[in-house]
Amino acid sequence: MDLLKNFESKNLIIWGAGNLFLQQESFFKNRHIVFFIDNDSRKYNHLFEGKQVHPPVALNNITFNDTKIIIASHAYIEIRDFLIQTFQLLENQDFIFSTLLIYKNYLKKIANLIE
Amino acid sequence: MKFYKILKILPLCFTQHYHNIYLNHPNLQTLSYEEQLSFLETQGFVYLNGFSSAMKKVGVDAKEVIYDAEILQKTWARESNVFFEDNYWSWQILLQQIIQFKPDILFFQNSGSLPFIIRQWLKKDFPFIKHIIMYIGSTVDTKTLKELTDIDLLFTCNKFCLNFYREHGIRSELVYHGFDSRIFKWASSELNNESVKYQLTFVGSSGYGFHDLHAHRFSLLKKLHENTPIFSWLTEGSNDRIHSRKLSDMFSTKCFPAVYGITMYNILKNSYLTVNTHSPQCGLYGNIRTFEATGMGTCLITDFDQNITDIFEPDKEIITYQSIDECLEKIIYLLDHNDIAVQIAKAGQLRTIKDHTIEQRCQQIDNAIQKIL
Repeated sequence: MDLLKNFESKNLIIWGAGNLFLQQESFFKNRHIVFFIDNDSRKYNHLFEGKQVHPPVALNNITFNDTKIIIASHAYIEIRDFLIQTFQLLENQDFIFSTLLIYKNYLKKIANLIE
Repeated sequence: MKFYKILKILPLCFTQHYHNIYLNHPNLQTLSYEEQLSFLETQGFVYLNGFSSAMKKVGVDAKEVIYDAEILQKTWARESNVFFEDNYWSWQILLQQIIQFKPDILFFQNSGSLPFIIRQWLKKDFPFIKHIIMYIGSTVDTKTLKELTDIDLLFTCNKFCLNFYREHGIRSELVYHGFDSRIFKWASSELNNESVKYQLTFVGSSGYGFHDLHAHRFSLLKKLHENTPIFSWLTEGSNDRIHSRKLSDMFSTKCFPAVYGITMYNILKNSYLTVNTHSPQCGLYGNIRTFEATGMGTCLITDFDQNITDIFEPDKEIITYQSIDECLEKIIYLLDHNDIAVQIAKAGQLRTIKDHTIEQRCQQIDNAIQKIL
């Protein structure tokens, strides 16, 4: 499966309205971010980078055919397990760790070096 | 014996020390990567100095990379003409080094060198990597444990940690810390054969800033400062729930800022006696200071634990204590009997050179690796 392709041209929900996203923000420039998810209730009803921040329950209303989740949080494993158990989502198909996406994108750029 | 290539990936232990080296040697950053690396090595600034040279003695093709040494790493990237993005320079340059060296084994010194999600993809993306191994000198929290599922072999530095990782299903081996005997030569050349300056020293954290975790250490050092001619080079936090004043404020004429690398080794070498105390997180006896101090030829006075006889013979090669009062009593005796302190220091140094050098540790590491190849 081509991870990069799978997460191209999709509506993105970002899980993690915090520092990790801000560090990686340039990677998501020109991508369609629908909203953010965060476990910190103090962030709800506020805009983060111009988008609403919602609790995880907001995922109940999402159809994951044309929407993907990017996890931009160091609590990736915990969130991954939650998404698999609660929503039966598939890792790297319905959601992905933002760092992995950036890593895969870098590999693509340097592909000419890898035999 | 099976042959393999191994790349060890190290972090900077003391970032400020690294920056100070470049500040004190302004031409250093104009040198090539290899020249900078050689010089930095002599400053003793990374943990397990000399891994690659010791592994080569064992017959293994080895390299080491200090992934977060920015000037050094960017020098390599420039010389190698590799592409990296400013936001992600540390792991992208490291990745390029992995691609160039093509190691069979990646050996991470702790879990933080690469984002774990990248590390977990390396074997899939780079089939030349057969195994990923790691050294962790302490136990870790549940979150970090879950990130270690890709680790084929883990080394740790005492039996407490060994049991912890084995209980969590991670293949683990015990490899105590060790001493890089080249440091003794480098330190000697800087000292110009000066005679011993200090009767008694302590180098490390005073415990201030660690609250109740290191309260015992703070009490020990306070008592020694009140009753002996000890000099201390201290790391201290900005506040502490247990103690109202820093040790360096209470004994300002005998406490100095923290020292690292070759400066620290020089102090140890210039000490008749040096005090050591283990962190409660260590589990069991055998922190790195044990080997640094004995290796540099000072008489080590350290806290006792049940496994100590695995490493040294108490009261012949090192001095041990089980209470603050016993520590003080033995120090006072040794200050009055310098000849005994010198004798124990020599025996401790011989034991370290015989059994506890990086070369011996690398032999143990190779033995364990041979079993997974």
